Amino acid sequence: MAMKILSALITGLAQGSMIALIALGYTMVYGILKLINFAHSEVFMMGAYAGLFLIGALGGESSPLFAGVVGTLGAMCLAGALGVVVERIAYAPLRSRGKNRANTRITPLVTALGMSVLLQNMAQLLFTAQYRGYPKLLPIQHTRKVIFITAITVMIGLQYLVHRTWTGKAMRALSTNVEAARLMGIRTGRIISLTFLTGSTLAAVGAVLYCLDQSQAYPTMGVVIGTRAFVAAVIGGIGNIPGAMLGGVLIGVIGELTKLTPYSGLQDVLIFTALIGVLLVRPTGLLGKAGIEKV
Amino acid sequence: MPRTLRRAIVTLALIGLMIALEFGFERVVTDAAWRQLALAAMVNIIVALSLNVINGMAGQFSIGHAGFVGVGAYTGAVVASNIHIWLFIHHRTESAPLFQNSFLVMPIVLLSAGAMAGIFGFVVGLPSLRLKGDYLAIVTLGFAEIFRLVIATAQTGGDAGGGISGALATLGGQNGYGGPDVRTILTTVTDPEVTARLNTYENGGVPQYAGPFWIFGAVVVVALIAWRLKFSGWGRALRALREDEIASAAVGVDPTRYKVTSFVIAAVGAGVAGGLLASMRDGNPTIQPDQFTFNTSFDAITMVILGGSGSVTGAIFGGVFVTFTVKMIEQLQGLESVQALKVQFPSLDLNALRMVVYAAVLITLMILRPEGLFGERELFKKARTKKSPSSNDTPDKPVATPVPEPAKPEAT
Repeated sequence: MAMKILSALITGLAQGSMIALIALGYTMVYGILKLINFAHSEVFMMGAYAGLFLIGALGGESSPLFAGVVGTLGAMCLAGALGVVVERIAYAPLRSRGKNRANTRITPLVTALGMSVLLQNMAQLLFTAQYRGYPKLLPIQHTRKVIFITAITVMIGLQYLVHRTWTGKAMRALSTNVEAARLMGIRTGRIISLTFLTGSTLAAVGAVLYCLDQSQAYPTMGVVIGTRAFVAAVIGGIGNIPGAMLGGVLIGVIGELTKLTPYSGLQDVLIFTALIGVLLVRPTGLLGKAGIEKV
Repeated sequence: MPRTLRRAIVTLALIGLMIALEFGFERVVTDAAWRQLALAAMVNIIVALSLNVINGMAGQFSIGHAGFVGVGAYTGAVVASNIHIWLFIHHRTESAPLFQNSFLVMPIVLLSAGAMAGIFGFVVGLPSLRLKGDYLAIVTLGFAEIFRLVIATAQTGGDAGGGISGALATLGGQNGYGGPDVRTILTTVTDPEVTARLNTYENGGVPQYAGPFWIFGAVVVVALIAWRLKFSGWGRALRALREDEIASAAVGVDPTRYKVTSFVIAAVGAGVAGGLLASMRDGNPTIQPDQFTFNTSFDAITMVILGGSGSVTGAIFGGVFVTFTVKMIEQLQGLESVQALKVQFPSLDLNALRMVVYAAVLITLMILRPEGLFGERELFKKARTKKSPSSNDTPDKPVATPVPEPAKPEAT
């Protein structure tokens, strides 16, 4: 039993670090735009398809290392481009319009949701609803290690980007106050695009890792994983990058531990209950700080 | 005419019209497909009107409305079929549902469906609406999806066991719920008379008590309530809250209370729609979890946004419009030419195409005209301000011989 729990913990860590990669995209966009980017889960799904096709085209199982690495990089580029396109089409026009039109609160949410539905059904039309098997690049016992190491490396890279580079400084400035950042000479439009690019790239890494583990890609795969990732972002404190990592790992471990009990089907119910609990007790999340609201 | 008397007459006339519809609907609309379409549109109008309370009037964003419709539908189905069997055993009614019995069954069904959805709405809404930010969106999305998955993945069959999983198993899992299993009831009864009676029971799924009377009646009642809500002080407070939360809190409008109340009202409305959906005569006497997917929620959002958030008539228009397009797609998919096209392009999924088009329309609408087609205006707003009733709204009167009217105050 102890071995089982230990093994579940390790799997949970790997799963969680993968969820964290997706949660980072939600949390970065939310931190800057205060917008739930519903289309992010679909960018994740498209990243999975891009990885599937690229890895297949590059040789797949015959040359696992080359195909895996190059295919993942290609999927990252495609997903990043998709994220930027989504931002340009659906969110940028709303921002430039100003805030004096009707229903300003609900409008960006509707476009975000519309974008998500659009991409998901587009995938259904392009790739059909069938489940597609992923090439087996790794022996199953190494998959978890690879997932974990890749996720940790990417997260360290992200920390470096956000805290050590000029771009990261600009992102942090935007999340504090967009107007003030603009007055300081930061090109806000470009930084927002870069944020979407970073988040979508991370989602593509997460997507390829997820598919290596679960070995299937299908058009609605973004829904469940996207919801889990968003819950992870909220539990960690939305807008907070280490919070998203912590939240993701927690979600992964909770999910794997429920699989040991007879109620394995109720995994998402438990995650959802955890979300409601966090919202009730500590709405800013585990690592989030309560902001002071100014009128 | 005094106002109360006029209202009483209008109410009586409406009830008479509903009863006439109950028996005459098959003669007015002879085609069964159109009849079902009309009834489905009515149920969707209730869905749209209830979602309009939270998404349009209160300016919050709920994207899991199908979940509450589903809660209402399952509650309604369980309640209706159990009362039906109870009536069958103790009052010796037929296996088929009767109109006079629907006056006993339907009020209980609608009340319980609305109440159950309202309870879920409170549990989901209270934690998420206390906070600033759009937590409601993701919480409702999660709620609807989990509700569906829990029912769809429930273990059915003999090995379900007791407790929660046993209770879930009776809801039928992926195959849907079609009334309680008579065999399991037979194992619990000891009275031989009841056993003999139960053995003659023909299980026709969820008894379909909701005829045109109940569906049209519910639409009229819900539309009236929505209208009154919008133009009441409560509706004004809600609109103030939507425009500026801080300012309205400063003048004494409690944001949490108003938002949670409006969300519970929306959930109750969805539950009522679900209760009707369960007992509707649509040739489908079961309730499946697949009826309450995210697409259903998105359709409801489209209905509200398309017509214009906050507009009651807009929601009604949206409900009818979306229902018609959905049914048209179903009709199209049956056509031979479309079938032939599908053989050539196996990935052609008309429903996915419809969702792509809807989503594109919604995004364009949000960018070009975020208030929706009608905005918050009502179609019949002007008619309210007219004092004298116009005489040309009765076309049955002989038009050829214009009767000289004795008094024309507006002409002088």
